[in-house]
Formats: sequence, C-alpha cells, structure tokens
Amino acid sequence: MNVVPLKSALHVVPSGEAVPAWFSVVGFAPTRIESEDLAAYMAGLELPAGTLVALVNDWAQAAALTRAPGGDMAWWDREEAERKRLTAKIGDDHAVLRELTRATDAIAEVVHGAAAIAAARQGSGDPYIIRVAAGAAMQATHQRALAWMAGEPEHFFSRKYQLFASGHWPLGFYNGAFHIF
Amino acid sequence: MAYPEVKTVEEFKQQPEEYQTAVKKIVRSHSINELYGARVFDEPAIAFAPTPYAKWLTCRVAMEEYHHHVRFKKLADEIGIPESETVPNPSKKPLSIFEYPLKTWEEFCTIKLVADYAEILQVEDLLHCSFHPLRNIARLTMPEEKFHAQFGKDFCTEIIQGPGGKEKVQEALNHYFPYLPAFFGGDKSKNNEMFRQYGLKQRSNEEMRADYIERVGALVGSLGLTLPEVRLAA
Repeated sequence: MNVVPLKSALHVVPSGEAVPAWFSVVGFAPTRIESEDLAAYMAGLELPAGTLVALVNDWAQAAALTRAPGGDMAWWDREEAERKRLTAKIGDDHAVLRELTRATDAIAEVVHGAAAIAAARQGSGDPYIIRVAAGAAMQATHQRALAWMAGEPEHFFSRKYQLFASGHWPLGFYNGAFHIF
Repeated sequence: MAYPEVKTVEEFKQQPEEYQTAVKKIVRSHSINELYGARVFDEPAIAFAPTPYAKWLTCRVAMEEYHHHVRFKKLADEIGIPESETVPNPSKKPLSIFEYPLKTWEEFCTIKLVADYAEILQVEDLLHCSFHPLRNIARLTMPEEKFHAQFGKDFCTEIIQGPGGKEKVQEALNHYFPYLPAFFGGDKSKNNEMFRQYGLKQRSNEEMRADYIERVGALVGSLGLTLPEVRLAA
C-alpha cells in the first residue's frame, strides 16, 4: 500500500506550489487549463461525458442554487464514498483527522477572509454564504490532503482543489448541469 | 484576594500542585467533550444535511469543533497531560448526551440550538480565567460557539416553518434537553470550589445551570417551543 506516513501529513502540499487565489475569479468563465481541471473533476464524479457546464455569475445565485431542496445528490455521495475509501486505506482515523485538522486550521482564516472580500465586492447580503464558501474550500483542501496521504496525488480531489486554488467554486450538479462559480 | 494571573506555561509549572491539577481537569474535560461532540454529532450531521449549502455549512461547523479539540489538546500536551487522557477513552463513560447517535437533521439543529448554548456558558466562564493560555483559547473559541448556536436557531426556525417541523424540533428538544443540565456538574462541587478559588472559573455550577435554564428557556420560547421538565439532582 502506498500511503504517506502520517507525520508527513502537514507536508502533503508540495512546496513551491502557487499560493491559492481563493474565490478571486468567481463569476468568470474558466480558462482552458481550469476547464481541463473541471473536466477531470467531473469525470471523477462519474458524470456522463457531454454533461452541460453552467457558469454562475454572482453570490446570490450561488446561494439560491445550493440551498434549493430536492436536488440530485449523487455527485456528493460519490465524493463521500471516495473520502471513506481513502480514509480506510490510510487507517488510524484519529491520527488522520488530527493531521488534517491541523492542515485545514492553518488556512481557515485566509479562506474565510478571501470569501468575505469576494462576497462583499458583489454586495452579497446572505450572512451565511461566506461560511458556506469557506466550508466548501476547506473540505476541498481536506479531501486533497487525504488523497495525498493515501498515496493518490492524481486523484480527482486534487483537480477539484485546483479549481478552488484558481479562484473558482465548483458548486456541483443541479438542474441537469454542473455549475461552476 | 484574586489569584495572581499565570501568563505562560512556564509560570504554570511553578504553581502549586493543586492549581495545576485544577487547570488540567478543565483542559482535559474540554478536549474530550469537543472531540466527542464533533464525532457524535457534527461529522455525522453532514450526511443528514438536506442541501449542499447546509452540508458545507455543517462541514465548517464540524471543522471548527475539531479545531476546538485540537486547541485544547495542544495546551494539554504543553502542560503535561498524557495523550490518553485527552481523547475519549472506551473504558470511561462519556457524558450521557454523547451516548445517543444522531438520527436526523432536526436533531442536529436542535442540539446546536441548546447544547452549544451550554458550551457558550462554559466558555464564557473561562474568558477571565487566571491561566492566560486557557483564557486565550476561550477567547478564540467563543465567537465560533456563538455562531454554532445561531446556526441552530436559524435552521430550527426554518424547520419549524415547514410541515410537521415544529413537532420534530420539539421532539428532539424533549429527547436531548434533559441531558444538558448535568453538563454543568454537580451542586456543591469540590472541583468547582477549587476552580473558583484559583480564579479559573467565576461562577458555581448551580449559578451556571440556573442561568442556562433561564436563557435557553427564553430562547426556545421565542421559537414557540417549550423545555421539557427536568428533575435536577439535589
């Protein structure tokens, strides 16, 4: 089994990697490279080839979309199944959790601040959306670190993380299309 | 006379053994309970949350609760509490509330509404604690605990507005609330007396419990709910 030793968990982010630009380009169309990350992420979610991609323009739309009840949650369940598989592969739940908590704790303030600034720029009035966005970005960080710790750096969690690091927020599959903010 | 302020872990190590024991009891208890709460309620709640919005918000809450544990655990390591005493121990019974696995989203929101309110009072009591490293953790933790309680209130309000929602929240309240007054410890507690003597805590268990019941009663009353009757130990 190719698993990164737990003591190395804090170093799962390769040194020299560009500083993440959290939420800096939400509402902008993805670039070519970002579109490749998105396609790889969607393939990991097992969405059929040719699934429509829709661009979300503002924070109010992002909140309304993600808050609407009754949506298809298969994409979320797919991520959850992968999270469980990777965790089981590493073993020692408690130590994994502690290391991942340290890793996400280190970015909590920065992510939250970036979401707050981006939402404020667009005059978002939703008091929760900043925390929702920060929760999503930290979940992506957690998932990517988990994939690295499990010895799977090419996992689709890494491509999802890259979308966040590029400044987008992949919102998920709603109303027949994958939505990216 | 107030106990002198203890500003660092190095100063802590020069305090009387009883002071050190008192601090260790508080730190150990918070470290264990934060981890129990995150494991038993917050992390499982992500699966019950009905929308991605609620799921990500719950992820954030769960991470914050884990972070609270990590903060207390780090201090525990620094002041020399063995690791085995700062995480749940299968041979020791947890607080009763942690023995009932979460079953629904409504239960989770109700727990945030009333149980995190109990946590707020506990943390509030440490804001002026004589041991500064513990005081600092309380100050960092407090805004997040307040947000969690507000989260509980807002989502319970939303659930109550839906069909059958009020009954579901009241049912969860009836189930979980009776375990919460015990969270404040026994009356005439020797530990609490020691905590106050050393300026670690400000109020007696009885005062905190009475304050909690009054404040949480008003809170649930504002949502049209009622607290179930709880028989308090003498």
